[in-house]
Amino acid sequence: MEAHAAAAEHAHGPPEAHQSSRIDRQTLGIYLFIVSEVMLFGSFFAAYFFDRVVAEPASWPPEGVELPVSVAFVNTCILVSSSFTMHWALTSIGKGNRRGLTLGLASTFLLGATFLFIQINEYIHIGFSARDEAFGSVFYGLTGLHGAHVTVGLILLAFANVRTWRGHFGPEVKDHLGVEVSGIYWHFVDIMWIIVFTSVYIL
Amino acid sequence: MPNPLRSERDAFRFLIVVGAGAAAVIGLTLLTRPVFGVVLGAALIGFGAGSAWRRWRG
Repeated sequence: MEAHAAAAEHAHGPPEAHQSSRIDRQTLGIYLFIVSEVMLFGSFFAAYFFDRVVAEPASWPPEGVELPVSVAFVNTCILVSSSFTMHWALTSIGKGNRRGLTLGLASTFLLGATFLFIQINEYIHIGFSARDEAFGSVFYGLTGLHGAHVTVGLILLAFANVRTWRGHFGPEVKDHLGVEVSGIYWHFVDIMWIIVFTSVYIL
Repeated sequence: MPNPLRSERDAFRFLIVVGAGAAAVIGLTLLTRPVFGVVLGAALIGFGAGSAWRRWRG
């Protein structure tokens, strides 16, 4: 019986029905989810650039609005750093290094929480609201949408952290999919922020 | 074309590429004018999409 099970595990041939032989279903699921998220962000970017192009008078941001670019740049560095710690966490567990996984995930969570804290602080002090002209609406719409995604990412990371402390993950990919999927989502959130920061604060 | 995004490692690599492209756009924008940054950004997106298309076509 055991020999049969071992043989089945190493058998070559087509995958099970409705499953890919190249990518596991959890990873495929998160990628498909991200595709839908890209479309959601795309609609917000379309609104942002449309408003920007048709703005009258043609000053963008409107006169009197000063975006805290340096604070946002520091925040960007914090968020991008969190992707490196996330990658470190996954590389560590791939090598069986549980301490690296624990430290990497905890660092990622703390960096993400710091990013969100700074963003909320920015909202408090920025001096305009979502009701102030089209600029206010699209600014809060885009950055708020991203902030919501960071919040979801932090919830995923919180679960991954707790599971790490409870020793749920192992070196095999199938044994740490909870971290792998969270990591993919987290990198997506980072990529989106890089695009938001470049579009809204720099260009 | 094989799927270029199959794991966290691939997503991380994509993040690095996007970050490098954004750094170039930000640098050019700060050194010159935003319109040049927009042009470079559009060119990089076009180049990336074109490369993906060519790889997909084989």
